[in-house]
Amino acid sequence: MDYAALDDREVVILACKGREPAFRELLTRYEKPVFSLVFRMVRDATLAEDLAQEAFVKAFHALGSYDPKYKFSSWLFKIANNLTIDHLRKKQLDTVSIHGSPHARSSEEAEESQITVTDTAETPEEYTENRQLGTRIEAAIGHLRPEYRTAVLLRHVEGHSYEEVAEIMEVPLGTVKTFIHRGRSELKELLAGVAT
Amino acid sequence: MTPPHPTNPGERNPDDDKSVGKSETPETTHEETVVNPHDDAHLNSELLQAMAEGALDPARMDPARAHLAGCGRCRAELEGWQLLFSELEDLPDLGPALGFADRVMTKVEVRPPLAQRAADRLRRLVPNRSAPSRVRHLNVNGIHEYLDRQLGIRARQLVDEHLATCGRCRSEMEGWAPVFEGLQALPRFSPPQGFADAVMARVPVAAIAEAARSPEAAWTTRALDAASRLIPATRKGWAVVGGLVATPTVAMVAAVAAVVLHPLLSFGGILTFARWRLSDALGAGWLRALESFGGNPVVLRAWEVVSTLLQAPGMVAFGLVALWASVLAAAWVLYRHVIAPSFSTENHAKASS
Repeated sequence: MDYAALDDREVVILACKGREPAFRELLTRYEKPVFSLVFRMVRDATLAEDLAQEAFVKAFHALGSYDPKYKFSSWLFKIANNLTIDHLRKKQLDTVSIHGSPHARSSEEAEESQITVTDTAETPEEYTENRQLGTRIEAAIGHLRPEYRTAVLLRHVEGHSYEEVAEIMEVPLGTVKTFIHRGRSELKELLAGVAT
Repeated sequence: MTPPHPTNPGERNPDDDKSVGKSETPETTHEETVVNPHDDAHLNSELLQAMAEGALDPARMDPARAHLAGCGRCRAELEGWQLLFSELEDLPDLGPALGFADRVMTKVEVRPPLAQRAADRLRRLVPNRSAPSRVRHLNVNGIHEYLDRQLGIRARQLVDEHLATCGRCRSEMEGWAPVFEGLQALPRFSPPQGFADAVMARVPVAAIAEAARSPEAAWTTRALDAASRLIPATRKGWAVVGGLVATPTVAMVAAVAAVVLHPLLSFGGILTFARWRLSDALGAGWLRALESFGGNPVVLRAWEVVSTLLQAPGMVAFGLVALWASVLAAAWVLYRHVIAPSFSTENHAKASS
């Protein structure tokens, strides 16, 4: 059977019937988009791989509850985005400043609590990541708030409509428009700042 | 800037008395000044300005040059004028603040041609939300929609026409273009080798298929989905559900109240009407039956049986049937009273006659 010729819903039906090639077809179709989105969100290839894997596994386990009236890609991106946002929120709570504890009462205390970075050399993976995300526009995207980043990437890289972006992010349509508008405006300012 | 002159303003120069072509001498003409430059008189400022501008005709240029060669004062004055003209030429072009033209145009009443006025009026009557109006400048949202290819063909044409004539909007558009072009050109990254295998190693295909096939699971999922769709998620949703539930109830109460409170209608009246209608129908039916089968011994026998039954306990059963029929008739009257009140009044009058 030529799985590549089928649409997403037909492939999902076959996957629900236990056809392993159907699962692999879904992976072939969406591993790049999902990994790219997560990678640009977390900016760490290893972590992005883990989160993207988790998203696929979670989606495949829940295939029985997938409602075919929605686009499969939107459903999958919703799962991946929720996992990524959850991770970023958790990471934000765990973050410690390398400049020392914010609760330090004196410069000595702050100095004592500083994190010393002893080796600044790039690992091969970091080198690749830095080259991949090192362009001006990628650097500017990295400065956006996660909500703006997701909305802009889903709209411009993945080509989803505003309605689909709203569905994936589970926010009202007007909020999505605001996210995208503000994201673009910040990108413009950031790009102008880099250029000068 | 002060006009260049070798002497201070107000200070009287002894040579001034000898100056030729002075403006205060009415009879002295420009030609005289140029024609007689060899006098001891100096060149006047008008001639020197013409020289500095390069506007002096050649016939007058040579005598003036000859005078300048021997007169330090006139040379100095000429250099002063040349410096002034040079500085004036170097003055930068200053523009008004942004929106100057718009501010001016808001105060200028321009009556457009008749055809355009008619077209504008028509456009106002038939609003087209997909096409932006003929605005003087594009706003940021319009630029985003244009660059994001959200505009329809006609709207794009209007924007293109505007951009062709408006440098300000073109410049604004060019400012946004790198953002959109950069985003559109972003590549997709491939996950590391073995990504699909790693995922599939964690996916129990058979178990997933079994769970998807399980009728209990499917039924439960469908039921939960259906139930979750019925539960409003917002205050507005709850308000709609409340309204949907309350409306028929209120309408029913209102209908019953309208019937009961009608001055010509009461429960007793309805029952009486039903009884009349029933007795009329029964009487008419028996009459037709007797007319049809009057000579038939079977019918006569049946009549006797019915008569006996009417006087016997079987009358109870008959009464139940009659009661049931009267309930139906009452419901019918109620229905017709609500739908067509005049009809019930008409029948009521007919029945009482």
